[in-house]
Amino acid sequence: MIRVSFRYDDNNDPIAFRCEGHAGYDRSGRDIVCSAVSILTINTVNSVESFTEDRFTLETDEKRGYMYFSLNDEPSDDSRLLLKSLELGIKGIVEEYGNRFIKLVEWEV
Amino acid sequence: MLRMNLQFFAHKKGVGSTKNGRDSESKRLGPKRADGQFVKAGNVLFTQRGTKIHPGLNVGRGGDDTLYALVDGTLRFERKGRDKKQASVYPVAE
Repeated sequence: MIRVSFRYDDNNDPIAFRCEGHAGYDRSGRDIVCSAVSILTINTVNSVESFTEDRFTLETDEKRGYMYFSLNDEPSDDSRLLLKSLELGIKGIVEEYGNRFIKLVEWEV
Repeated sequence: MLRMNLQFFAHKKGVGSTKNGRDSESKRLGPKRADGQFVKAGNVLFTQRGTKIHPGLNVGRGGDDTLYALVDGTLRFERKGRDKKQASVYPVAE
C-alpha cells in the first residue's frame, strides 16, 4: 500500500507531499496503481522544475518507494496549481483503488 | 528532472533474493539401448534413479541403479509381476 500525505498552507493549498510504500496491486511492470501514482508525482516534480522558478526540496528512494517533495519560500500560482492537480489525481485514485493499494494519511511532521 | 519510472512505487523485481529459479544439469536418464538390440557385455542399458526398470536375466545393477549387460546377447524389456518392468539379455544361440 502507498501512503500519500499532503502538507497545506494557510490558504489550504497543498505545498508539499510525501508518498511512501509499494502499491502491491500487481508485480513490477504490471502494477497500474503504482504507475498512476508514479506518473502523477514524477510529472508534478518535473513540471515545477521545468515551468516555474520555484525552489523545492526533493528526496526519493526507489527501492523503498519513497518520495518527499516540498515547495520552499512563497510558491508561485503555477506551482500551487500543479500541486492541486496532483492532489486531485491522487484523490481520484484513492477513490477507485483506495482499500488495499493506496491511502491518504495525515501529514507527519 | 526525475526519470519517468512508471513503476517507481511498485515492488521491485530482484529486490530481495528469490529462493527458486535454479535447476540442476539434466542427467539424460532413460534407455541407452533399444528392445531387441544386440548388446555386448558391459554395455549400459538403462540409467535411472531407483529401479524404474529392474535387472533381469544377465543384467547387472550399478551403484547408481544403472543397468548394464553381463553377457553379449539380445536386450529385452519385459514385464515383471503385475506392475514392474525388467531388462534381460538373452545370449544369441551359436
